[in-house]
Amino acid sequence: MVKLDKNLIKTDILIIGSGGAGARAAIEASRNDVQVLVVSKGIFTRCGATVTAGLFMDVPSSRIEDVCGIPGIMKDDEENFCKDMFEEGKFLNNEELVWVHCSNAAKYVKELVGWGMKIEGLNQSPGHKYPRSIISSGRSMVQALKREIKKYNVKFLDNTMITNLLTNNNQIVGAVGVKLTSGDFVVIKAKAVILATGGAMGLYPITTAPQELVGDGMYMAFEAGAKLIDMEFPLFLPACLYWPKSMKGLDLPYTCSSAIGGWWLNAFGERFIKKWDTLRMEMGTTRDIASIAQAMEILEGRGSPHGGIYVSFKHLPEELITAYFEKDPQVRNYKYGGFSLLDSNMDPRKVSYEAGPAAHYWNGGIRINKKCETDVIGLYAAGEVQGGTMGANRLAGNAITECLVFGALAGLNASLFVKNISFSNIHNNQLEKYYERIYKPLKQKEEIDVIQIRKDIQEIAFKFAGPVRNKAGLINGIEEIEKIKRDLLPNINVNCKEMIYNREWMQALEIDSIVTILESVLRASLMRNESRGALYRKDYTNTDNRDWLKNIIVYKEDGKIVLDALPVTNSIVRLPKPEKIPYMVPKWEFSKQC
Amino acid sequence: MTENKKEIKVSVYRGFCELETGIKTGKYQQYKIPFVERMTILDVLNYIYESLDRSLSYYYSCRTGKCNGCIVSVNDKNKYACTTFAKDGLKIGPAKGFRVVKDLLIDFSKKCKFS
Repeated sequence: MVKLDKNLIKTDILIIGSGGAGARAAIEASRNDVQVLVVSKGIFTRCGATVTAGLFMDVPSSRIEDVCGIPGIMKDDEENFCKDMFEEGKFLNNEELVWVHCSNAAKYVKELVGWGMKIEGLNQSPGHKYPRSIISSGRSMVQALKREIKKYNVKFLDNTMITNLLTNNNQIVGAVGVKLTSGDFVVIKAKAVILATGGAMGLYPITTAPQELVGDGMYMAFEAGAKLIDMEFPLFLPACLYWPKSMKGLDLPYTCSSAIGGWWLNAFGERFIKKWDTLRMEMGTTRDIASIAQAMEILEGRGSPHGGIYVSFKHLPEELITAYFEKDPQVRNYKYGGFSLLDSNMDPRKVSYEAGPAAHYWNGGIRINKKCETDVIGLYAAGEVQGGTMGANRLAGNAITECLVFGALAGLNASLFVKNISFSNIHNNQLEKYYERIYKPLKQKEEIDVIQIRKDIQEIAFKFAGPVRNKAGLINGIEEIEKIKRDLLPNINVNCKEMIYNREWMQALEIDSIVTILESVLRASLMRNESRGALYRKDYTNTDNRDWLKNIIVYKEDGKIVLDALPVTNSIVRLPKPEKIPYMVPKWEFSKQC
Repeated sequence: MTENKKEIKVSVYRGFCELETGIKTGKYQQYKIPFVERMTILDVLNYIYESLDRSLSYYYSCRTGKCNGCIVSVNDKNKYACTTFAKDGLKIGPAKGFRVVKDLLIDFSKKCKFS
């Protein structure tokens, strides 16, 4: 029997994840005078994707002057912003979510500027017809959120991994997990739960995302009965470092390529992007096309020694490179993130980079409506973990906007919801089951290596569910995953049996998330017999607007994974003609307006 | 040059601290690490964890010098593990100024002058 009295915590709203969306939700809910507890697997302000972001925040260009004092282009408006999102998302975006996103963006970014976030400039990112991206830094944003959050009585529980949600008749009643610094079982009774756990980029071996983002939130929602949407569209960022090992996943070559125009070259020195995006080339192409183009060169054997392609700036005048690396806020003084390019033998005037696609963002996620409600009563989702907003592909700069807008709305709607209800009972059989799941890896003795399994799964993900996929590979991937589920997962165990911050134990518990999310990516990709946005099927190279203007929904029924395809609707823009067209790029030419 | 060596030796703090005073009660343990070009302190810790001793406790998130989570003391100076290059003979301990939870994991909310 699990004893409740010792470990039980009670809160009106439990927020899981302490990045941008979680913090923003906490502020909004606290304003409505409800108890808020933010639980994080990491440490508040020192984890999650927000703090590592570049960071761009998109708002309609016409609103930029009001938001931060820099003049934008007045021809732009909310509707134009929506149109670009639909065009980039290949019309799979949920129209309500897109409208909420575009019409609230300026309001919430302006508020953040008021809390002290520093603005560094304005950018027109690829895929946008107007300059909409306000430039700041993840650190500056997180510090602004931290200052604001301190005004309220928000409670925090860091280094605590929530492993499962508790439900009663399809309604949230709380969650369980483990306090990593002590190994104690944690039970939280809550009237509502907001998932703000970010994406699942950790499925892949090379990623720009922090190491902890492995899809925990999506897994927990799926297990609790919520539905996932657009899972076949993980977004890859092209031209991320493949070498040296210590900088794997760093998006430096991509950032510089977008800014000053790097050349992407294969092993024969060809600028292969011209086969894919003749008009816009490296500087103006979007991330989906670029990732596919790079992956094709790598897969077809025209890659670099460390499995990537080359990114070179050596065709540019040295003065131009020097000016950029001395002055631009993102790379000032030849520093990127915390790396000094001069100290690490990465001087762009002297070397070319070995780079390629890295998992960057999760376009899909938990299905929500415009109030951030999921298919489970009392369960909300906000930020990268939510699905539907971005459709088949996300515009650059929209991730931070999404976590601000929907973080705030999730906080608001959850706080209104909890005012009218009381705490519900927790079922003891759920507690027993999840307690067993958490402590099982410590008790078992089989020779199964957690780290090796994770590496094997990442290889499967990259090989069969990377930027380029096909039927045979996807079926192969599903079979491999089923084998792992059948033979290895029930016997998962850890070498180290310690209770205090046992990293191996945490990584063992994450494997369920990784496997479940990867399976949903593989199955949804196999179902979609076409290429669209971030999904490229080598065996179906057309975009099929006749049969596939549909969202794929993934959920669990009677213990089994089920997939449905639902047609999209749109009253803001006209949907494309119902015909098959070659997977290709938009016809307008990219020209910077700022 | 140390950078050309095939193997480096580093010592890493293992253990706890006294709860009342914050005085460290653990000790430094030496590890032999196969050296890889432009290897960072974080690469060293990951190698120890994955290949030598799964019980090593340490924290990191972004791997790119932005989240401030992986701060450790390197030869008695606080540095980011993810962006500091490794070399032979380094002493890696918990970040100075905070209470130790275990090994290199610290409690950022508890400042401590004895560190």
